[in-house]
Amino acid sequence: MVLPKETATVSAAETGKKSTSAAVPAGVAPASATKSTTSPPTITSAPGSTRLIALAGNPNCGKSALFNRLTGLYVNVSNFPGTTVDISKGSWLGAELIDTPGVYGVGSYSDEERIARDSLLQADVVINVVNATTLERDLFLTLQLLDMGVPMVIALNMMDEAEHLGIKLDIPMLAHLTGVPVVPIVAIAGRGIDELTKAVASPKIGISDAQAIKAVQEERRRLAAEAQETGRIADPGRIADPGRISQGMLLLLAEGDEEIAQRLGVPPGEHRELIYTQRRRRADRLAAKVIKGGGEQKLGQILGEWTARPIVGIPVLLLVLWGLYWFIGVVVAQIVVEYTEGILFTEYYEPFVRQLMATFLSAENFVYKLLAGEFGLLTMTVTYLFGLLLPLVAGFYLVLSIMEDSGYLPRVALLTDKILNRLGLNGRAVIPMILGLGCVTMATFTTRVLASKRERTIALALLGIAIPCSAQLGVIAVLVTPLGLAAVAFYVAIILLIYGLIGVTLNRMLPGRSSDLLLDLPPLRLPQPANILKKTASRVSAFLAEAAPIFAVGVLLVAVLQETGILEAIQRAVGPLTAGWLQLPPESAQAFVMGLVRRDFGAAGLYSLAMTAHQKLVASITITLFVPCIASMLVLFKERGVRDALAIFLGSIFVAIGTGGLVSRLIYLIGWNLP
Amino acid sequence: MFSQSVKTATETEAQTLTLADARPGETYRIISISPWDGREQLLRMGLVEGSEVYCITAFGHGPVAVRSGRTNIAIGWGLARQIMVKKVEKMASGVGRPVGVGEGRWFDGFAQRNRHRFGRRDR
Repeated sequence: MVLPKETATVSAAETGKKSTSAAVPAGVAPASATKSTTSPPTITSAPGSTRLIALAGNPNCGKSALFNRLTGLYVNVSNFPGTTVDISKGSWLGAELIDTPGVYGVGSYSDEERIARDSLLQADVVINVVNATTLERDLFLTLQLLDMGVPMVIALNMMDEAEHLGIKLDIPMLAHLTGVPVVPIVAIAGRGIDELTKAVASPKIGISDAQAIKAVQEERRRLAAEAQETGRIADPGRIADPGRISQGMLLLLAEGDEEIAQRLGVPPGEHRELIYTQRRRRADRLAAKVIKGGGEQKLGQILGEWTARPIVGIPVLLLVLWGLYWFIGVVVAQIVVEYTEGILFTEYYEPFVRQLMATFLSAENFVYKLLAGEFGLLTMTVTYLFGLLLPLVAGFYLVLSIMEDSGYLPRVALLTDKILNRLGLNGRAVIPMILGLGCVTMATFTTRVLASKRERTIALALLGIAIPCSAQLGVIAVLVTPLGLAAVAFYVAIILLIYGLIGVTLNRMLPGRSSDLLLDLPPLRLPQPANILKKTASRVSAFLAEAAPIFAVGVLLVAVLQETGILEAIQRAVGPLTAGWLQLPPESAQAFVMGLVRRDFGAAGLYSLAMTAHQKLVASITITLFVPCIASMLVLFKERGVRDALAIFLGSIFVAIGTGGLVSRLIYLIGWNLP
Repeated sequence: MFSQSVKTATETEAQTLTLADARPGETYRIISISPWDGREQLLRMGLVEGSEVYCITAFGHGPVAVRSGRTNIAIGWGLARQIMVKKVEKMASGVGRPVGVGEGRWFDGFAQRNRHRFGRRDR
């Protein structure tokens, strides 16, 4: 690969930059900083080491689609800003390609930005993915990257959509004004990829803003003065020479990035306001010169705006929710599961396995019971996992993927913002909540998109206690939907009530104030079936990979507990709670023990019990509010520490048991006769 | 920091509105944005003093959605109150307006093109 002249000149600065991040103590540096120890110190390093190419762009500009196209890997692509919260790595052209979270600018405004910033500071080449339909907005980041002085290429994505909207862009003009190669592409269709590949071989350092250069020089002088005065900056011996610190670092320092300032051991700069305003104006000027055709409102935009208005948006939201209920609760939970679980597995698969096992072992043997008994590894586990959970989880992820790709979710965020404000959250939190309906463990990670620690605490508590995951929800749908619409409405009302109470209480209790909604509303698009299927498949297999082993261990545990008589002892011990307070059959204790392992597993345990309609409803509510599964507890420990995780764990047991008993009495009190 | 920004809001002239008061279908010009954390993110997303925004929807005491250029942005109530705006009267023709701003209702263009079918329309 031929290296352009410009990149050679920065290699000295690169060296300084790399060692800077290496100088940061491990505790302070984000995960990506570990990269610096393995990545080459300069572009012109010895053969065998890899270059680092980073994709950067605004949220929802198609970085992940391009990443998939270039590496042949699959990472989630959706029409929602902020789908990527972690960096994905792949190899491309013998270099390491990283997909960074979408940001509107580089800084330390959020975790996503910090991750993006650190990968961009290490990158040898940056591919700036720009959405051709929202050029004015996207150019801010582009100009910041230019100011950072990184060798880069602009990939002008979604050219097909821009064409469709009648937007005409003067691409040579954009290349001229930025000083870097500009390649029009359509990432999802793979158009322009060859041209992009060629352009990446010779990236350019673009034209920085005069104001930004002045600020960078001023920071360099400030660092030099500081260095002279104290004889060192930050780590002694490593960065003694301020001349070797990269332009990117200095620019971020000038923009007042506190973390960068800390790494350099100096107070942050004070030029942010000036640089930002200047940059915004330059972006607007550039956009005015580059955009030739006006562009008109197409169906996607029009529908997008109407679904954001309450008068249309709320009925549409109710319709979508009803559709979700109908598809998951009626079609999948009743018709499909009836066949897969009821016929395929219970009538054909299980008898076959039992027969097969019986040829080797007697029915009284412990191993037989373990494999093919009531909680058999080969019978119940397989039936629940594949007959019951798989269709439900797949159905849910299918709907979720369609909602994501259509760009509908940001509208939900807008419509629910006002309500969520009362719970100390803003509309953005609706995304972790909806994802939580898929898998609470996965959703726990996405709470990182929330701006403050306060909001994350509230969201995690709500997720841990009052949001059932798809597998659990599926089993509950099987339990509750046959009881009639009134029972379903009652279940939903109780869960929402608890949800609201927890949110309002935490909002009152926690100090501080939550941040406000600020969210891009992308146009509505027709989802692409191929992407929907790929995404659903990747999520379902992730679910199976996570659930199957834990499920199996859980079954094993329960089987052992049952064989040793411990289960019975537990049932007796918690009898006053289950039979007395909750008014459930004593065997339900076993479902709660299983619920400690996995939420859906607990719900599945209820499924096999003989209960009255009244008990089914109470048990469903209780198990929904019961503890988060082991996997999400582990994530919770990792993300928030022992104290918060334990509080959520104990809180959920208390809320679940308390609510269950009250609800049971409430049903009697109002004299409701369930069928 | 928060109390400081509230003070800025009250200090401004009485007739200037905040974006939280915006009404759907109207176009506003941004006069000032209070200097707090949300400001830089607004600048990044394309909102700056002088830019024009078209209000798509507003929930009373709730979020506002605006169109700026070709981008639609949802802004929470608290943040919208930090943005001072002035109403922009609709211009007779589309000339000189920024792209996508202040286009009026989406069907206006359609009505304009098909005027002969509907007869004269009084505005």
